Amino acid sequence: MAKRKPDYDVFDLATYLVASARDCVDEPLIYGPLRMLEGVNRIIMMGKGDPRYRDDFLSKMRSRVTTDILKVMSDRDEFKKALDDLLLEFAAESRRRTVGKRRSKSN
Amino acid sequence: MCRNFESAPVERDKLEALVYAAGRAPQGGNMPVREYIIVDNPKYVKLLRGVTPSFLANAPAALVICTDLAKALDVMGVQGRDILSLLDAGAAAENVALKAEELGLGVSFVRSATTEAAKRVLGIPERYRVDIIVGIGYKSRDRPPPMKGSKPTVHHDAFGMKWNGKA
Repeated sequence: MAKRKPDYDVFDLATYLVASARDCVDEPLIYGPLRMLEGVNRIIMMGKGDPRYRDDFLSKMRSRVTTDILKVMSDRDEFKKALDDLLLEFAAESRRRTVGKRRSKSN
Repeated sequence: MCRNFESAPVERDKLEALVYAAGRAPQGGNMPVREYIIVDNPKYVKLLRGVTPSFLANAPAALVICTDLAKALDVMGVQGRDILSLLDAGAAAENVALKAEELGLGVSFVRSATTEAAKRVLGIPERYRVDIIVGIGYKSRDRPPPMKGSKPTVHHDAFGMKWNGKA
C-alpha cells in the first residue's frame, strides 16, 4: 500500500513555529497559546500520514484542540477553561502511559 | 469571518468581481497606491499560510492587499502612507467581504507580524507593505458559529455624554 503523504511535514511545522515565534512578539499574550495549539494540531496531522507516529489518543484529542483554538476568538474565559480541561486529559493519559492504572502511594 | 472552508476552488470570475469591489473602496488623494495579489495556486496559498500564523482558516484562495509605500508617500505624505492607506486597505477588505457574501463565498481577514516573510514567499518588492490578507472560499457547512457581537460604546455630541439610542 502506498504511503500517504502527510498533510504537514517537519519543514512545514518548523516554518510555522518560527513564524509564530516572530508573531508572538507583537501579538496579544493570549494568542501565544493559540499558536501553540495550532502547532499541536499540525503535529497530530503529521502523525496521521505515518504509522510510526499514529496515536489514537492524539487523534481523539484533535477535534478538541481545533475546536478549542477557535474559542479564543470569542470567549477567552471559556478558552482558558478548555485549556485546563485539555491539559488534565493529557496529564491523565501521560500517567496511564507511564505507570498504568496503579494507584499512587499518596492515594 | 469564516474559519472553515470547503476545498473547492473559487472561480476566476468571482475572484475578479472581488478585486473590482476592493478597487471601489476609497484611496486617499484618489491616487492608486493600493495593489492586489490574487493567490489561488495551492502551492502559493500553502507558502503564504506557512509564514502567516494567523492564517488559520483553510481558505483555498487569498487576496493580498498591498500599498506601494513610495508612491503613497509621494502623493499622500507621511500620514497618508502610514495611516490613511491602512484605513483604505481595511475598507477595501470590507468591500471584498460584502461582495463575497453576495457571491455565496466567505472570507477571513488575516494580519500577522510576519508580513516581511509573506513578501518574501510571494516575491513582493521591498517598497510595498502587506496591509491585509483576505482568505477566500466557499464556507464549510461544518463551521463554528459566528462570534458573539459586542455592544458598541456610543457617545452623544461629545465624549462622555450618554447616547440613549439602541446602538
